[in-house]
Amino acid sequence: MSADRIEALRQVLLATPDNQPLRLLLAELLQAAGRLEEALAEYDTLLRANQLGREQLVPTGELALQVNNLDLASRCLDAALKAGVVEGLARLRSQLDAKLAEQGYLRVVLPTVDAPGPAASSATEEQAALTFAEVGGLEEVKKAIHKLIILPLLRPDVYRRYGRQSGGGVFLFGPPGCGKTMLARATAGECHLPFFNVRIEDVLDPFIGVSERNLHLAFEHARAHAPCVLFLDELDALAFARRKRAITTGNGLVDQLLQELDAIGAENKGVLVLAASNAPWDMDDALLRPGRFDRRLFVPPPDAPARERILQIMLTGIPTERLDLKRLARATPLFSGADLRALVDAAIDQAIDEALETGGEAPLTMHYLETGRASLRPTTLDWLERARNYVEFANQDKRYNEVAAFLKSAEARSAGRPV
Amino acid sequence: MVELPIRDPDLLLAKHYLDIGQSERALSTLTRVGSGKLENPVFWYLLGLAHEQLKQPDQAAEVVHRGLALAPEAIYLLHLLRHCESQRGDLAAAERAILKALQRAPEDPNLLCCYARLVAEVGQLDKAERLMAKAIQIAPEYQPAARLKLDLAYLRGHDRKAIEVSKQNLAQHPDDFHGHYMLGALMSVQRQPVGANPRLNVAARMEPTNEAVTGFTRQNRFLTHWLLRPLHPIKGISAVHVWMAFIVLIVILLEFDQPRVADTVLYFYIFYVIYTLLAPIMLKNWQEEGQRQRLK
Repeated sequence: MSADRIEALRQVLLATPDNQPLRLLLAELLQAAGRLEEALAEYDTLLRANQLGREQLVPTGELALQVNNLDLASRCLDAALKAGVVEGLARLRSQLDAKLAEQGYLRVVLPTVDAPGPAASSATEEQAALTFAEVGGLEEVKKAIHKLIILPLLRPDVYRRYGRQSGGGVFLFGPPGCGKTMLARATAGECHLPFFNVRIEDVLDPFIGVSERNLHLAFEHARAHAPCVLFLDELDALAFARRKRAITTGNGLVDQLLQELDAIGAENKGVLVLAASNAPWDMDDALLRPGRFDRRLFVPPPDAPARERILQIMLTGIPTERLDLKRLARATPLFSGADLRALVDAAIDQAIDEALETGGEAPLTMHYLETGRASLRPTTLDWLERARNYVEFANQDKRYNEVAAFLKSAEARSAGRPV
Repeated sequence: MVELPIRDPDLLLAKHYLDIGQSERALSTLTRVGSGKLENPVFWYLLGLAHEQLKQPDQAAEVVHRGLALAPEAIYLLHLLRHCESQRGDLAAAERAILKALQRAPEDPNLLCCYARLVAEVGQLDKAERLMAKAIQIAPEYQPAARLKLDLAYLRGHDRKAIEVSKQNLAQHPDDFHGHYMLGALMSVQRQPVGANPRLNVAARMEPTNEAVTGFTRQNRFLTHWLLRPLHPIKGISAVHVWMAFIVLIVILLEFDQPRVADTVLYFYIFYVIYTLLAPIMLKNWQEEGQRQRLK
């Protein structure tokens, strides 16, 4: 009966070769009849004509793998990536990679070119053109990131020999405006990897279970584009401590994140998860267990040389006169990058006012910058005050040791106010 | 925080920030939303809540009134208004708001506890007890009611009862910050600083930015410094008790015609009194000096 239908369909298709629904029906009948090669030939025709539905791309790729048609499987995978398919994509990708590796090939991925945008998943791909050279200061943190993140990605062979693999989770924390997001972006830039940013507003949805699904899709998206950097901004908002919640809505998001992180080692080779937060104390403790965000890096306010470098970058291209940036950097202890931006902006505003009043050009001088400095207070102080209490009362597991060391440093004590 | 069915993504994000105590982020989210939300009372509720959490009760009350103009019977707005008016010090307006809410939901344990706290603030402890009892009758496991029970016992000056209640509360909710804090504070007040220490430490670990807790914990740690241990040798016995004991001992020794021994005890007594008075001052000075040195 089935064979008759197949034959009849073939006859019709001879007369109307562009009837794609009929061709799809034929392919499905052939597949059901176990005639996989013939079915794949029909699917291939549909794919070439861009008529294969996005929901059929992954199953067709998997079917192609069953008969070792790696070319078709690879084209299905590429088409699925272009169409923004997420479900099952990581599985297809890993199966295809395994088959190719068996045969001694490596699939070349051209990342990001046709990657789906935010509509397809909650992960927003952003340009990660930054490098460490463009991030002022933070040398210790950069060194740590290089050791913990970049080397395992660049030299996986060495790490594999010792049973370690690339990927996993790294958590950056510190006062606001001190360059955590920039560092994450620069990490991706240093590794030449695509950078996906996930924020709470990308994930949160009013319908039950959809927020969790959005988060899952973000991870699936990253897995499909591995190797890549997945950056979770404001991790405290995504995974607020369950014990601190007055109401239980939102706990599902934490559970989902834990599940996704636990899958990192097993399913997501090459997915590097970076997260950042200004409020590490509000994060769920379960996130800090081994295999999740067990590598934590404190990103302190920039030190004096770093502030000088930041000021240099900010003042590039602006008319200036006899600036002593070293002195200004020394006079701005605990100023974050954002505070320095505010300082420079305030000084520029004054210079513009002056220029408008006099009708000439008023270059930016130390006078403007020092006036701006006098009116500003580092925003990091509030954070450090808060952190000081956490160090004193909530550091039993030594998670704030780096902060404690910073609070004792000359830099912290030179701010003119006890922290 | 009231559970509200919110479908709007901006409002949902703001509510999420409020749920996790990030009022500034919530405020900045709400100030960015489009004018389409201005007809939604939930928008005004969230905006009011953000102001209230940021201790800006005047702005909060104004915003809540704008919400009430759209939904005059909305319990969540009336409930918030009670808190705003309390923060502003207008307790009569706060009472009007909560009574209006209770008219609509007389069996709501949350509103009952809220009203009980308000009347307790003005010293009507019996009325507060009745409201609390009603709340517990409606919802026996309701945690805010259990906390209120503890606070009322404390406000009545029944410290021992308050200690018992806080222990009961902790047995039911071992992670209850309020229970740990109150138990620690009460034990410290009852001159049991050694017993109070672990409770206060747990409370301070849970809420290291709560100034009341950290202040109490630091003070209690100070009292349990080894140098000051002789000031509270046995649970519940203070230095004043020891002074009295010395005097009684001296009188007894004199009664039994033991002047030399009585003299020796007297010297000890004088030394102990001086130590009692000076040791805490000296220790405090040393600690402050040490802190100054560290900060230099």
